[in-house]
Amino acid sequence: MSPVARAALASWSVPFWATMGVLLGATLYVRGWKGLAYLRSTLLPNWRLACFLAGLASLWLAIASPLDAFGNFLLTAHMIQHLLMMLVAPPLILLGSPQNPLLRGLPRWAARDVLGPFLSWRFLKRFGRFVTHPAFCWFAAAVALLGWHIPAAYDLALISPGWHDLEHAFLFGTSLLFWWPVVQPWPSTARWHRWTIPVYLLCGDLVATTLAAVLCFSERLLYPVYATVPRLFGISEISDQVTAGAIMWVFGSTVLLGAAVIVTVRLLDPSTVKGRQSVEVLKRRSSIRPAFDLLRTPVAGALLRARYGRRALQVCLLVIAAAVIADGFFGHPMAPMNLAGVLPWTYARAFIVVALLASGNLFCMACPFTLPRELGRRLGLATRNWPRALHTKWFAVGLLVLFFWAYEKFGFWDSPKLTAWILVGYFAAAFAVDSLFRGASFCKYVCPIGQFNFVSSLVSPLEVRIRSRDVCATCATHDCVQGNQQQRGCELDLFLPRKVGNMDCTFCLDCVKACPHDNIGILALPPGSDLVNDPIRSSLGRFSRRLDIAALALVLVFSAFVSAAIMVAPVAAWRERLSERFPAISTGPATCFMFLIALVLAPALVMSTATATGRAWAHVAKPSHELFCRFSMASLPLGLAMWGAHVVFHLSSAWRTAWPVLQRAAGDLGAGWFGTPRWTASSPLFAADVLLAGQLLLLDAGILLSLYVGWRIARNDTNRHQDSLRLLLPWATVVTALFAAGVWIVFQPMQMRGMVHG
Amino acid sequence: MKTTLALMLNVMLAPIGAHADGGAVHLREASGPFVVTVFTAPEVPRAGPLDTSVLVQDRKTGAVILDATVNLELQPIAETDPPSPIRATLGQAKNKLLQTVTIDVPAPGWWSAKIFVNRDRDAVVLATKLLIMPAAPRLAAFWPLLILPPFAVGLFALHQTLRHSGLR
Repeated sequence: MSPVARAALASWSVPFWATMGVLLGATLYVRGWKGLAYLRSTLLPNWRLACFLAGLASLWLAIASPLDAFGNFLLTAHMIQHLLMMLVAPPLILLGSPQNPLLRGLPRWAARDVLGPFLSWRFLKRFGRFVTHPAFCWFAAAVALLGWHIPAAYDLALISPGWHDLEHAFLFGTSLLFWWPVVQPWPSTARWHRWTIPVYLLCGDLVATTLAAVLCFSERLLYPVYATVPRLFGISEISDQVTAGAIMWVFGSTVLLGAAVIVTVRLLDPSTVKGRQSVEVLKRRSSIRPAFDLLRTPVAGALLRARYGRRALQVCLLVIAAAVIADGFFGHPMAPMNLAGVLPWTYARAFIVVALLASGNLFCMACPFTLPRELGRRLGLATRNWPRALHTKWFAVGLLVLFFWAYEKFGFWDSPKLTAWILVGYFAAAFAVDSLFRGASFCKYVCPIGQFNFVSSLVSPLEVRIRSRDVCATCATHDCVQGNQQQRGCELDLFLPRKVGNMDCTFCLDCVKACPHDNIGILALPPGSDLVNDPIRSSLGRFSRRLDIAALALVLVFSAFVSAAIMVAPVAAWRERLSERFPAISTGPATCFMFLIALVLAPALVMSTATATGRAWAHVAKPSHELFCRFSMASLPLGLAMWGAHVVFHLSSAWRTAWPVLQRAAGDLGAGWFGTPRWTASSPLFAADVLLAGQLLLLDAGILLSLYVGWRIARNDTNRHQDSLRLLLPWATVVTALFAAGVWIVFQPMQMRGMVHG
Repeated sequence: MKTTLALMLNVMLAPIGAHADGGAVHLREASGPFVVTVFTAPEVPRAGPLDTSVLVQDRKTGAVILDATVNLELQPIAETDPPSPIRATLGQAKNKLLQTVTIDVPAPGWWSAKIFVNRDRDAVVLATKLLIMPAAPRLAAFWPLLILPPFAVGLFALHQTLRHSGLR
């Protein structure tokens, strides 16, 4: 094969969204088809599955194969692409009777609660009946076919990718409609007598043949755009046009007339008629699928359940922490060239937030700071209980605010030695607290990282919880919290049958190992669902009565915006101007006070005003402070999304820094086999526009989830829709303003940290 | 893993950025033993990343030449110092017959472009001018992502109305 032919045949592309759509369609169909197995002998035999998948495959072939790449150069290629979209994919897809398998393939809640109201909407039903009427189907297909082959429209589609996509969407969509009365997919019913279908198809062929004849017999080039592009493979413009017309004529007529013959033969076949009449609607078999359980997955589940699984993860992080401390004290003083400047602030932060968004509190699971506590326990000093007055999160809220302030004030990211001291301090604090006090007091009441993770993991999609309530009802030993001779129970006092959500859960899996009934898993749940209801939670009570946890949530949300805003150019310039004018505000106490205002006082004031306004407006009886707590928690998804958008920026801009830093650190220790570091500015992980799009998507997801949770809370606390809206509106305004601020921030140039410039 | 994720995200979000594939024909010229066609995308060139694709064909037979070396120079028309040429490569575009490069054009105005095509001992230089329009506002490029929340809220409002009212 010649290199040119090889290159031409290699001109495939993978259009991401279309490919994902095709894969999603196939997955849902196969899932639903398997769920409807009892219909396999009657309405959904194997060949229907094959037809549906073949239809999707031909659609993908049309948009991903070289046909698409050469459509701009050769009318013939473009014509074959259109024929696949109009005459091959649609009838095959409809032959799969996709309606019920696709619905059955969706999660039950999505089909029932999300799509249900739309599917039973009278307007939509009427609209569906209208657009599937054979007359409409025929005209829509004919108009689309002829309309898009008018030279002006066709040329527009060739030179503009947007119009090209629209053209394809129209041709494919109207072709689905065209084939609808022909295939009449189950469970739809025929609107016209089946004997009209051969005539319908013949009329369709007439339109296609007319167009094909025009292409074949026209002596001039119909689409001038083909005269401006280079001719490939020695085919002239006119022969290309004639070939395209001939293919359309022969292939189109074969398919359409062939379909007419098949329909006619089936109408005349007495067994088909009898078979159709004997089909009975069978009862749906109910089968509730169990939720995804990470502990029951083959590799990750086995690792996590292993006796020393968690310990192995902790040891890995302990080694990394030791390396960071050593390099921080003795390594290169420049932060971007030191492990202590790069690993904690660029990588760890990003991985923690991404893990929280994608799975759960994985950092606490692998936390190395709790390892010395085991050592402290052996000293036998941990006999006291944590002071009752400190059985809240206020101390941790204070520490978290202090940390955010100190991070900016002292530039932790820019000082390896300071970072090393912080890590040493962390180990010492964990050791001291847990050597003196029972349980995991450090994790529960002190650790700022832990509090950040606890609150954030309320939005995570995985949760440590019981698999079956019935099993717990028969359990008398409560090993999950009390432990047994082999395994201690939960050190954070979480009694699993009453544990709701991830708050205070370190994912240590002690409860999993202690449960004698193997009734605890890491189960999937819709993200944010824990924020909607307000049950009594083990060891925590109701969120609506925990002002300290609400304050923690507000600190997390507002710190996301404040810490990102500080780094963008306009805010940095404004700060500079302000400190030139008022030098006093740059002093430590002043900045600390400003952080206190920005992260605690102002958010509390804004949120309490919003909820009090909503409460008064909607005449809600529930106390203001309870609504304040609930809506503060509802803001979490947006806050975590902003954190995600922020840390992913730093990870993307400095993602190649770790390797040269590791080379340098190893070189300092005499391990030269890692090679010599090359200190050049690295290219980002994501292109600027790609990163911005990802950040905006994160913020979109954040605000939508926050608004949804807020709406559910408002519905729970009011009886009427109008009252729910009144209660929600002031808070939603605050959240929308935060979202707008987030969008503004991600559009601004941001200071790059943790990387070598130039 | 990181690279795979990065690739996936880049591919997923690529349509928001440049297409690097064909675009509008900006120049088609026979020179020496070649016929060279230059495509630019977006269709109206704007400041920012400009995708430039080049198809080199044999002047006599029209056969596509894949082994020619293509370099491009782009500079504001007022500047006299020649910029360093950028190499276009095969395989970046969907159409594997095109040699493609993405050039960052920082400012609007008239720019001069030179295309150097070399193959064995044959070398030609083509020159053209490009009117670069001001960059589209960044917000304009991302509007679908910005209208997503109001659209989703609208859809949800309809959903709730249908669920709780007699509209069904």
